[in-house]
Amino acid sequence: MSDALRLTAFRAIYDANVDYVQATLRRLGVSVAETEDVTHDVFVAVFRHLEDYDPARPLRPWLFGFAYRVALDHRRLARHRNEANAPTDQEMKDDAPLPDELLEEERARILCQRGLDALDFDKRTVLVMFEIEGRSAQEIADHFSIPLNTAYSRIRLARAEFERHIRKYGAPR
Amino acid sequence: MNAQDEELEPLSDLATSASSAERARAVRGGSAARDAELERILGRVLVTVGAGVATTAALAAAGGTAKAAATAGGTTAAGASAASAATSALTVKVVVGIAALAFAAGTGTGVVIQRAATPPAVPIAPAPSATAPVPEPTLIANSRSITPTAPSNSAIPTAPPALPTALSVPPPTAAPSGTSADADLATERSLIDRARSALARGDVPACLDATSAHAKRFPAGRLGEERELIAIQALTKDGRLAVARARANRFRKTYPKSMFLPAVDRIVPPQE
Repeated sequence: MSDALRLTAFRAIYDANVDYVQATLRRLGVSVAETEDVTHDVFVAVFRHLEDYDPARPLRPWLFGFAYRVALDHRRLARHRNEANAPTDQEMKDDAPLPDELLEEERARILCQRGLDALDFDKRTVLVMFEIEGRSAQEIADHFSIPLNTAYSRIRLARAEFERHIRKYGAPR
Repeated sequence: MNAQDEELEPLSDLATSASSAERARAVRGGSAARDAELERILGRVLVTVGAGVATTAALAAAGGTAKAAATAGGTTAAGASAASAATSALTVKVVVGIAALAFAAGTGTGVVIQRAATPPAVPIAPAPSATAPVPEPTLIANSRSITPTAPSNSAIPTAPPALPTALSVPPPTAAPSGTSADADLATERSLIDRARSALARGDVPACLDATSAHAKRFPAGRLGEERELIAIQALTKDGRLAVARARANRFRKTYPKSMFLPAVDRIVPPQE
């Protein structure tokens, strides 16, 4: 691939998928304020590994791999940085009841975000892959390099915990 | 489909509605602010990966071309998948095809990133404006990059085990000499950020207050282009189209090679 074509390909991938990448990062727990920086890091990695992409495979799972790795690194760094800090706004807000006037859809989405926020990073990833992206247990097994049975048990655990947390917030009105 | 899938208990209605709401997450697409944000991130990425002048210029040219390709026909793969919320199966091959077409048709207009004029000795991180007379501080982008230790449980077959990623700590602004340039840039940054967040929440007056404060305090500031872009967006949003147009025209004269030019042109299309 010549440089120019490579760059054009990158540009097209960026335009068509930046929304997906940002949604994924949010789902994986990257805060709104940090999404821009982390998005930058994801696409820098994508650019540098453009040649590794296998056109026979769907693009988004490949991009997910980058988003996952960068979000994971980011998370380690953020935890390190925030160790001594007071709870963030986000954490404090999470205890507040959901305002009634929210639209049903928005309410459900926030509920999902809170349910995800309550999971550890691995369970969160499993839930995002399985329930939100609709990926198969086999893909999850491949992603984590674990046996299929283990993937299923992780899916069960992640779902159970997710259910437990959203019930706290989502009592029917 | 595996037999074990059937053994999974169905999610509760609540969990189902929550996850499907997230799946349908609406992107704040289409707004000028969102477009500008995406341009800005792309610009930062290109600057970070750009190894030198030639690459940077080629990158910018490629950007113009890809955009032309993506917008030329609403049915190109890129356009279609941008519009589609469904998982895209867009492949590089397809993209390269588009690129080749675009080149053949000569639609690439070659936007040149301003930064190309000043060859960076070190790949630089994202202060979007590079036109200032002030010597640009060399932001440490690549030296921040580390190769994270690969956790053994996360091998992704198609991705390399360890991605070099620039860590997303706020870029340490390491000016070659002293700290006053740093402090200035930080102040500029905070004014611009204030303007942007005001715009994002629709508070046009507060946005314009912040951009005027920036213009007054840093007439030759390093973030002037970004300021102007934000102000033009705010004015447009406020319906002050004539003012926005005048300001966009001035932008084109002042920063003819700005990487924000495509964004400005999208907000206020240039008149023939």
